[in-house]
Amino acid sequence: MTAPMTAPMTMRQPLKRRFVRAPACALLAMGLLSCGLGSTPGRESSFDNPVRRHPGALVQVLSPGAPEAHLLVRALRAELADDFDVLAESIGGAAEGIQRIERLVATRRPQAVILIDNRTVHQYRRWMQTTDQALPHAIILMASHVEDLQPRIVNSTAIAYEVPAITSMVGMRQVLGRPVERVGVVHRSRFSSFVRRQAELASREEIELIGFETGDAPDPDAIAKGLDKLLGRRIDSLWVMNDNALLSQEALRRVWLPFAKRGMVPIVVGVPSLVHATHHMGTFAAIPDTADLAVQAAELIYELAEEGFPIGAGGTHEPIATRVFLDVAMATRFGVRPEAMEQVDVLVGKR
Amino acid sequence: MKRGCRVATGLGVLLVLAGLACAANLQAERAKRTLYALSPGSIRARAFERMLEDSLSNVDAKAFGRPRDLSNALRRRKPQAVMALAPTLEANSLTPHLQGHLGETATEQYLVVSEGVPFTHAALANSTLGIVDVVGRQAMPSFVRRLLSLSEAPKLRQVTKNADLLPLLHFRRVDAVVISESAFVEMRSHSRLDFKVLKLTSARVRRMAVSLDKRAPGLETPFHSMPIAAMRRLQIDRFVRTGGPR
Repeated sequence: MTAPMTAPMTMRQPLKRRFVRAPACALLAMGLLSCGLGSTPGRESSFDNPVRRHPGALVQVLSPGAPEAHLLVRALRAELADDFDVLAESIGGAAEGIQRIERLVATRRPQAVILIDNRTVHQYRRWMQTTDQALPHAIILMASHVEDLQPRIVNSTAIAYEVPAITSMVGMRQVLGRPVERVGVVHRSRFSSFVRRQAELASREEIELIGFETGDAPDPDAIAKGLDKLLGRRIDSLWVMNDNALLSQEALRRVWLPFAKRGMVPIVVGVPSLVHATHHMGTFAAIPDTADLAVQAAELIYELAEEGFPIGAGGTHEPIATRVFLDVAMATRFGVRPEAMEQVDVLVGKR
Repeated sequence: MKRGCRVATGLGVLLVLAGLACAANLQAERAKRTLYALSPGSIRARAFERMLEDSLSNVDAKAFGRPRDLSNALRRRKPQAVMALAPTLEANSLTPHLQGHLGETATEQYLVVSEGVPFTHAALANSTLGIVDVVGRQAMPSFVRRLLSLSEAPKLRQVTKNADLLPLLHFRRVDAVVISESAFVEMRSHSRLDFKVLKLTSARVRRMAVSLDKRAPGLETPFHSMPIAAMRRLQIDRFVRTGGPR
């Protein structure tokens, strides 16, 4: 059963505000902001495209030139090399990027295009609205909150970039020797439907996701109030959404870090930079594994190829494989299963 | 007195030089003994590599998380030993010389695990199954067809570690997963899904094995001397020689 997201909650003592050094928060906040692909408009980088070996079987990657995109392209080539050429291009700023997409798709006529990150998807959409030519199947990767974006791209399928709460929570349940059954989440009202979907999924593992909804521009006091109310509802874990509006430098300094320091419940975050050996905010993070994301995308391309690249939308899929980060000091406080540490990719702060 | 001092200094220098030479030899000896290993789906490559280095004396271990990565590395360089499930070794044209055993058996039972609805053998061929990649993407369909005694290969979704099988069930991307018995025990320990298990007695996969380079004699010994705790993490309790280089 999933509790209503905005159910009345009992009041508790407000969070004690403690002094946390601003540079530490700036560091964490910068880490959060850089958790995407860190693309710089107009900045291009070479993908060293190989000589084509499969005429008529082309997957065209359109992307920013970020390091994660390079890793993804390398993994895609490894997976698809036997049957497809994978050519990748960096897309520049707005007008230039749209012209580049036009040129690439019109001249190369790929069977599928892979759109990496939100900016590329928006540029592709603008180009799509100006063209009459048949559109290849588009696969959207590494874009945030893509389930709202994907239906607006004709003939597309997406793999979400947010690791679902169910995956993170079951992963943490595996590592920590304690139940994970009542999970709190503070979220903005604009993400209510997203949180509802997450709650439905989590209920399959008998995890109740208990939401506290803030306005669309929450100040640190509103977030602190939400955390207090969630504690009052006897949550056993906290899930922190990747939302820059909730994780501003000020909110980190005034609310999140003091809350984490109290060590009431383990905190699950969605970016590795918040699992920090010194500042101890997130206990556990699960992020999509880039190489395995490429495997999942390659599988999708093979399935489309088997069906002759049919026209139509394929919806949004959840990412399957994750990389897991654990703050060893925090996890030890909550009780960690030593044998489960072998399932963790990065042990943060391990001696 | 002065002469005595010079002799002592000379001897000291000689001893230091001899020590350095020994260290260099030892280093060279260590560098020669390289082990490539494909991480079993239950241990991340980082932890597996550390475990192997701690358990095998004079062996430099390099662990890989995916069969493809192991195959690519083997194309670039031949190490003195390769450790993986026996079918993985054979898929890379390597002969298992040491076969891991647990008790009397060299194979592990695999299970077909679904959620809510029990599976029958007859339904398998028309299903989508999730499985950890053992022999590479291309070879997996026929591997699974043989494993499950099917006339045709089912549709597969392949992952690289056991932990990724559960999300396939969560998001209903597969009808069932094919998983080793030991991995299923771990999965069941932290999931509340209503699992249904189909056990086909013939669905068994040969356990971890080692292929040795015949030009590196004496490399077999460290594998027999592995601590039992490390062997247990590989789901074996000993290695048994199956032929090949001594």
